[in-house]
Amino acid sequence: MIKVEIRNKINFPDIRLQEELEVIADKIIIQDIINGIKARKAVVGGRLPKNEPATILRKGHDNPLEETGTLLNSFKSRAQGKNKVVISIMGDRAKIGKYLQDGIDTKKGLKQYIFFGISKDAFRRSMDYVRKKVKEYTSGANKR
Amino acid sequence: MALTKDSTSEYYSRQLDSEAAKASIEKELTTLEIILSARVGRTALTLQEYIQMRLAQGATLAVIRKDLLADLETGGRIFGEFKNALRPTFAGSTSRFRDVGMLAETGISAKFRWVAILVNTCPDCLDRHNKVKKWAEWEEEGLPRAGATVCGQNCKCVLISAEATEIQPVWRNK
Repeated sequence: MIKVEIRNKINFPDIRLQEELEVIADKIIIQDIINGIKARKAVVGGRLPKNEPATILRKGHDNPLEETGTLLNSFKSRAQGKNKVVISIMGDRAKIGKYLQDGIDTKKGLKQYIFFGISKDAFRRSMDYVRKKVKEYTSGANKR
Repeated sequence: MALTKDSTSEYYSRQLDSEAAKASIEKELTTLEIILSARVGRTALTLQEYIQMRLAQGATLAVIRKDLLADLETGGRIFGEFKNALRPTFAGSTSRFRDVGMLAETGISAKFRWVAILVNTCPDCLDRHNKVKKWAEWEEEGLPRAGATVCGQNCKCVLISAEATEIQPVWRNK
């Protein structure tokens, strides 16, 4: 007689992706945010709004979110636990950044500088990175 | 006008509510974060260790690669949470204002019901759906879109005043 046993709650091992998450945060997402600001691109697509004439006069150029470079240098990632990385804006630029991203009231309406987040491009590149890692690990070259 | 004991306690309760709401709004105003997370257990393996384990079990590298890539594309058991956390988003942080608004309106002493939309709802949110807790307890467990659930910032759940969502029996007339 053949006996068949159906097992429930099989415990598959979880995969720790901390190393991959840290690389994605530092090399892909933060870089994408910085490049987006430099290229005046919003993370949701489209362009960042132009500065107000008074701001352009003060700064001497019309590069939104760029003046002293403090904001561009304030994006940091930190590992939290075994499988978590948090990307945030450090220092006083955190509050200013949030204020600009949520939008400021101008005569022409709400102006939103959506510069912080994961763009479609960053998502695509992150997925490519993991795909590359899977292929690399399963190529046989890493076999111990 | 003389204050009675009741009106004084009501006054302090209102003050406490608005302070909690202010603190919560302040927290939202000063926080701009992207949370990248993946599922993890106590016995979690690295990707390489997982591949070694599968090899030891007799699987070939080609099969393991095919399985892993399929899981990554479909957002399966291994990469599901990871893929969700990476989804292009900026809406999560701003959507949290909806819950804070509810707190400001209802007050900290009231209870809140976790309501999921029940369309493509993640298992964590399904588990929380319809549960009633105080704001502080939900904050401890993780508010919607705070990264405590598998769906992360894509979460569509809301916290609604439990009183407003009380289910009343339907009385049918003949």
